[in-house]
Amino acid sequence: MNMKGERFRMKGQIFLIAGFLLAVMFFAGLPKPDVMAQTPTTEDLEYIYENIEHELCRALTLGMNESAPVDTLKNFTSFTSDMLETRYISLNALWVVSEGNKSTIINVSVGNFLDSSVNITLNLTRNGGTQTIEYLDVSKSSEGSAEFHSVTEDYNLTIIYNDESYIAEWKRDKLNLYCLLNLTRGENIKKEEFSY
Amino acid sequence: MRGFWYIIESVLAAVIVISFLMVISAKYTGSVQPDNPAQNAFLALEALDHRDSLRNYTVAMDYEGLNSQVPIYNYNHTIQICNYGGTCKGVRPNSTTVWTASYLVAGKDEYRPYIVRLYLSPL
Repeated sequence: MNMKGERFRMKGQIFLIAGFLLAVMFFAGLPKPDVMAQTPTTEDLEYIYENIEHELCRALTLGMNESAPVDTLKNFTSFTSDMLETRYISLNALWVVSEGNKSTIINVSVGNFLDSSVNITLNLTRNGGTQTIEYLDVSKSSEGSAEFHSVTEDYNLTIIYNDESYIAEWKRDKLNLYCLLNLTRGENIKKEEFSY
Repeated sequence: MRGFWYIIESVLAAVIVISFLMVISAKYTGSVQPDNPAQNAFLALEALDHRDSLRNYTVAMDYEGLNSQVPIYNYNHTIQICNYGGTCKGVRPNSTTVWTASYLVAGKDEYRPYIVRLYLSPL
C-alpha cells in the first residue's frame, strides 16, 4: 500500500527485465571477430636481412665454383625479391662484384636492383696512389661492367651512386662483393650495406 | 507509449554500463605478452643452419627429416621446402592461427636455391 492507501502496483520491473534481455541479445548477437592474418612487425626485417646477406655471399661463392658468379648473384637476387614479395616486403639492392683473373686485370660488375637506373662511379686507387675512374649507367634490373688494368695486389675501390659513397678495401686476387640492401614493408625500412 | 521509452532507456543504460565494464576489464586484465613465435621459428632454422644440418635436408627436400630436427616444443610445427621452380614439398598446418618463418638457402655444394618455411601453430 502507498501513502494514499492505494494498492501499490509494480510496473517498473517489467521494463527493466525487458531492457536487460534486449541488452543481452544485443551483445550475444555481436559477430565474433574473425582471426585475421597479421603482418609481422618490423623485427623480422632484421633477421630476414641477416639471412639474405649470408645467402647472397653464399650464392656468389657457389656461382664462382660454376664460373658464373655474377649471373648466379643476379639470379639469386631475383629469386629473393620474388620470395620477399609474398611477405609484402620490397627488396631494393645494388651490388658490385670484382673478379680477378690471376693477372693485374680485374673486372668489376654492377647489378642494379633499385627502383630506377643508376649512374655509378667506380674510382680505383692503387697502392702507389694512381687512380682510374670508370662511369657506368646501369638500367633497372640489369648489370653493367668495367675493366681495370694494372691493378696492384691491394687496392681501394670507391663506389659512388645516388648520394651514397663507399670505400672498399679489396684484394685483387679475390672475389669481392659490396652490396646495398634495402628492405621495405610499409613504413618499416631496413637499409644497410656490407662488403665481403 | 511511455513503456516503450522506458525500455529504450533501460537498454541504452545497460549497453553503456556493460560496455564500460568490458573496456575496464580488458584494460586491467593485462594479457601476458606472448613470446614472438615467428622470430623463434626463424631462430630455430638459423640454429639448424649453423649446425650444418638444415642444408642437407633442404637439398634433399626431406621436409619430414628437417621437421624432426626443429627444437621447438611448445608449438606444433611443420616444414615446407620449395625449390626454384616453385615445387613445394611439405605440410601446411590446418589451423586458424599460424606463424611462419621463411628461410632462404642458396644451395649446398652447387647453386640451387630453396625456400624453407617453418609453420608454427598452437598446441
